[in-house]
Amino acid sequence: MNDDRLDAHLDRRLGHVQPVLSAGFAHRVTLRIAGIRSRTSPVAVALPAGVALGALALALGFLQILVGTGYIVMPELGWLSQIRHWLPAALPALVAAAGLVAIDSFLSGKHVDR
Amino acid sequence: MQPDQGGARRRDMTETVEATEATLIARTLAGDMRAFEVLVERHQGGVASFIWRIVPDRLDREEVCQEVFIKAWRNLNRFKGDAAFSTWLYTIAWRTAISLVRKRRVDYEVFDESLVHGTEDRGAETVEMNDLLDDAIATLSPEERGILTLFHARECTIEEIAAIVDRPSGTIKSILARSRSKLKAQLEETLR
Repeated sequence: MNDDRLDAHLDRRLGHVQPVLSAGFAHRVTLRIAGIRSRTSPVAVALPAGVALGALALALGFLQILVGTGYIVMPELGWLSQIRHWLPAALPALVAAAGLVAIDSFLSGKHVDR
Repeated sequence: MQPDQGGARRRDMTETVEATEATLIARTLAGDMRAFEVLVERHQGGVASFIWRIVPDRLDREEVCQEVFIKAWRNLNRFKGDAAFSTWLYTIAWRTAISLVRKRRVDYEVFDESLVHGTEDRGAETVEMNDLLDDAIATLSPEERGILTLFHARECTIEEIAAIVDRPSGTIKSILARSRSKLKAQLEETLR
């Protein structure tokens, strides 16, 4: 068999054979994507929320150190001066919340990697 | 539904079906899933015939096809239009199919053609030749089958295939030549 004849056979065999996908293939693809999108939304919200909470906890922790070491003297400005009292309680709560949100994002992200 | 609403919807669907590829991509990126469905409908045949030749297990094939289009949707914002959309899709299809075949370490000899229906001439001689050719093609590696399909069925150029499979053009030429000589040898031996 010469090369041209083989090429002609290959063109015909490989080119004209069309696999039959089950009916509604394209629609099923978009349905799967819709499922992925609906699972994506909690991640989209939880991840920035976790990062924001973590950043806030970090900032408050830094403030706590500055106040504790006396680098900053809290002014007597009404509710603002109370910060020194609730900082020790608020910090662990914030860190815990950020951790929980981060874990939730991680677990959701295991299914959705967009 | 009001009659005019139905008409508007039909008009909208007709416009979607007739839209250019660039328009459909832009609309998909804007969140229009109907536009993406039309893109899938346009390319599912080409992607499927490519996947069918690489993935031997028929149960895996449709799943891989779905995976290809889902990956395309996920990464559509990275498609810059430098190459044809179909070339970009074949790149995703190639990576997905080859990765599955390598993971499964499937037996290349087991190649089921039961789901493939030809539209070509069904004369006795052609059918016999097609069967022989299918048997010969099945003995090639998934990579060789994929590259052969891109060249003969999808009419991709050597450069396009090189971009799809991420290999130099020279390597593609060698793989094509090697595949052809394997097929030729096998067919000659069978026909002898």
